[in-house]
Amino acid sequence: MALTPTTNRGPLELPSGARPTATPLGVFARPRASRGWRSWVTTVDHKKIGVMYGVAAMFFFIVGGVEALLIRLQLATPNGKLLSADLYNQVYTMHGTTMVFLVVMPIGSAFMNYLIPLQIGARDVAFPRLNAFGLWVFVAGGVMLNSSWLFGHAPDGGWFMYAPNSSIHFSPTNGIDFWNMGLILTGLASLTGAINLIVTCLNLRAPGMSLMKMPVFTWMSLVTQFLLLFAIPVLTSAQFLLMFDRLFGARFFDVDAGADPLLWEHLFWIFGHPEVYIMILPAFGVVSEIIPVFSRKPIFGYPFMVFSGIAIGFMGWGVWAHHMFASGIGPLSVAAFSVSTMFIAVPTGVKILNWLATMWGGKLRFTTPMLFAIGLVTMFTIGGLSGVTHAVAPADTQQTDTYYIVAHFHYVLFGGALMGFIGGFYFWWPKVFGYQLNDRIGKLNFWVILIGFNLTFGPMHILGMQGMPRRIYTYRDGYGFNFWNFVSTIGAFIIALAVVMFFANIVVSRRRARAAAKVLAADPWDGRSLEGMVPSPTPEHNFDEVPVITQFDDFWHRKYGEDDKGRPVRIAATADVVQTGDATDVHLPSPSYWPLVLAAGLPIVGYGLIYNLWLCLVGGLFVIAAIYGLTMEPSVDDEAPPAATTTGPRSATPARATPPPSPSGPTRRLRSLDRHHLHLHQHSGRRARAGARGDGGGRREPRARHQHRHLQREAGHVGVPGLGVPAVRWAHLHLPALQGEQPGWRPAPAGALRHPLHLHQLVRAADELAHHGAGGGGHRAGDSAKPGPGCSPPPPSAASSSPARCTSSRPS
Amino acid sequence: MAAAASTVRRPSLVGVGTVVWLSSEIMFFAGLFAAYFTLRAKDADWPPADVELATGRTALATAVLVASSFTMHLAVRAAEADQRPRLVRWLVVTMALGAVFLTNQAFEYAELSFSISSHAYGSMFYLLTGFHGLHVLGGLGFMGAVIAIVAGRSSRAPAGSTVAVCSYYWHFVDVVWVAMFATVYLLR
Ligand code: HEM
Ligand SMILES: [Cu+2]
Repeated sequence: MALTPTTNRGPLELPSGARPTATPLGVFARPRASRGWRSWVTTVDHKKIGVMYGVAAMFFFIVGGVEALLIRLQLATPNGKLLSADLYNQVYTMHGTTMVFLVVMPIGSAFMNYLIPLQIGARDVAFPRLNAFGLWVFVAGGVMLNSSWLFGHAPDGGWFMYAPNSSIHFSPTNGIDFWNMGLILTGLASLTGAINLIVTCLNLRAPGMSLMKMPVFTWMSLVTQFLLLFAIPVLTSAQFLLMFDRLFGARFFDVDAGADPLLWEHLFWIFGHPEVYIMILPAFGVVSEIIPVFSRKPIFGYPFMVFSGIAIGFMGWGVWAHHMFASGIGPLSVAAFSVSTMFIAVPTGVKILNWLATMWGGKLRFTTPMLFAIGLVTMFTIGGLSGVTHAVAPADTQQTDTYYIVAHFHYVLFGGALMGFIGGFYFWWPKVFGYQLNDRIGKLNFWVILIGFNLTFGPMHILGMQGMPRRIYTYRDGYGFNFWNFVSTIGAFIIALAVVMFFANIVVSRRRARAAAKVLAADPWDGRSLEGMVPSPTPEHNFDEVPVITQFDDFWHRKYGEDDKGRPVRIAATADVVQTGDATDVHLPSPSYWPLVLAAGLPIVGYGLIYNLWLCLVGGLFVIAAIYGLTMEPSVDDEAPPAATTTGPRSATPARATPPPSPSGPTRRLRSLDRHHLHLHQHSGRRARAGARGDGGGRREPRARHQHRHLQREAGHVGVPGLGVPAVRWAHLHLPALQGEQPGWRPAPAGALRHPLHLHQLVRAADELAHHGAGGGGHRAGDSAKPGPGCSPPPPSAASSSPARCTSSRPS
Repeated sequence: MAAAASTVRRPSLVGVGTVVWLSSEIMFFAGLFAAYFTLRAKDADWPPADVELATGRTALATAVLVASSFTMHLAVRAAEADQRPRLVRWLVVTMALGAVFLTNQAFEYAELSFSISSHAYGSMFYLLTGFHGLHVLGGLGFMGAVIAIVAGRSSRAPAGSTVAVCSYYWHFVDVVWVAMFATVYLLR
């Protein structure tokens, strides 16, 4: 009989059975729903957050797509009458801004949020609530930007918003202010995401997964996050200049005041060029996962793949002025940036060659994801080549501001980034939703997109070289522009058809999967990276046990060895390698309303800056309240109903049944201590139980010691900066006391329980324990602990170690 | 063989996260500095004739702010030694020094003969120093919260890592100011 620790009562609950009722600020009860919309808006689960990024991005993709169709309708024939010049300016500005900031970037975020923890063997990201905040502030920014349509006038300065064209003088409506505020908010989202994912990659990798064993997608994402980390603040600073110019009478771009409009161009493109890599690198990562799987070969030249990504990340900072060849920056700068731009093509070329070499001699399977991956490689190459022609400055002065440029960046952004992402959708759909998208429709989908795409953007090369300027709302008959413009418009509608097909495929496949009602295998593609190890769809806790990594493509090598000719041979059935989704003893961070509240306060501040400063006060109060709520709320809800232990359908929030008998003695105390921290990782209980049953073999470990290590591990895993850490550290210092059955422990006094933080009680309880037990005191917090005998823990300051300290050892 | 994988040590999440965040803050200020130098390079009379900065007094304020970095360090030491009263005392001293700095800035703003819309220099001056001032203000709030929630009497949680993170931020704000002082007041 296993001693199933089913209790989930508040650890510091009074002996009388009274519950601590306080909620932070007394406004919201802690959210509990595990299904329905409430579970989505309050979630801190990286997978749900990833899915919501994707959904929001697809929504904005439709918005931006409709804008694109409007543009193409207007330009289908000469003297188009659909849009006025003014409206046209708004439409293309919003189209570009939406596609860049609200579509491609968040689809990247969707993949990165969902996949990084899975690929590195973690239970969640480093700061789950910050992650939720990032999502909501992104949504807030997107909504704020698009709300400009409703408030009378959308921004109209083009997606790069050159000064002085963006001044109030030339654009007197509030459109550009909305652009500023909206993008400052989405920038904040990118920034929090970057901090979160960088720390996740650095700190939460599974044991054995050194940096050079990380999957290429995770690597490219990490580079992307560093680019975001450094590029976004530059855009933000530029936007503050513009904002102060427009709203508060500053004169940063006013030549009469001794200023210089070129300043904007520099700042924008110092952000802007890294931005193009921010958009493309995640897609490169995606195809670097797809191509090896469907070639049944490891990625060719893994270190080259990684280092070329890093090289792009560095070189991307030294080429920005190639966007400014025509702006009079002087011959020396032009020459220098021209050369540096040609050089940056080298690491990109390395990637393309590596993908080709991976496919070379492989056993290719042309599934839908593979087709899209190949689509990226070919279309991006075309876009990359036309990009090299811009690097030649004299050529670029002819091309700039013509449709040739429009052709180029659609080949890299649509034919590159978006193609890769759609391939990624097809590839990871089973993992995320538990059913496969129909492959036949998918293939058709691919060909329709490919044809539509080339029909739309291929002719733009010709138009550009014929001299058709971009950003013109119409053209006259007789310039020779008519035919190719018309072709391009037809192509655009073919793309629209393909997008409809994609959504239809979702509906059809979903319906069929429901009807068939069979459970999808964990690893439908015979994949290589760790996400194949967890069931499809991924259970809430990701890994039952965090795997120990011994090599690159570890999952693959658990399934396949090599014969003497180097060909893969099965060594284990997939079913034996994958996990079952058993969540016993896993604790996850609890959902919270506060990230949403915090994100909702910020656009109020934004509207306030535009319309009435008093609104800023309101928004500011929201923000402060939310920050307070976030800080004071323990990241783990003591009273939450037990986590579901299977992935199967769960009953809605279980009623608060009669509380099961609580464990007594130190077990209870220990649980009370560590329940206050994110249990991203497997609790030790299972192992301890296995040991108790005698079937744990040599892996038996005394429970207390086990808990001890567990706590150390958890020390860094807190959602609230600084608040939880000390408690764990503190508890850690007194753990020797906790290890033995110490008498004299008394529950915390009743009054303390009403404090929202729960930290006091926690600490006090442990405090008392220490005094009665090991006679604690005099320990230096943050200094090395004095562990009990038989334990050799690292000091708590370094305690946030790998996620799987307890479950790490694979029997060998 | 079992113990092989169990010695991975990594620094705390919050500590790493703070450092990562501050490195992006550097880029924010770098953007502003870049704007300063770009405009300075373009403009023949920089700073314009009506600009009279109280360099001496601000040098004093700079010294005060730098001193506050040291008191902050003492606070960190106190937190590590788990000496609560001393910790709170040093945090309060640090806050006071920060407040002195801000007061000087407020005085300066009140006195200056130019405004944000006078000329490009004025815009740049107020934005640079203003954003820095906001960061100082944020730091004061941060320290206040640390005192109230973690280090204060109502709590017995050890404050070590919270104070450490707070100190990273504060040192960052100080270093940025030293650069800003050198740029705006000394180099001009
Ligand atoms: C549905 C397919 C699409 C069509 C038909 C389309 C069409 C166009 C056209 C005709 C322009 C030029 C407007 C002008 O200069 O007057 C344009 C601009 C632009 N497009 Fe697209 N586009 C599509 C998808 C995308 C995607 C997926 C992205 C990004 C990933 C994107 C990013 C941009 C950007 C950044 C601009 C520049 C906007 C500006 O000049 O400020 N487009 N698009
Ligand atoms: Cu560029």
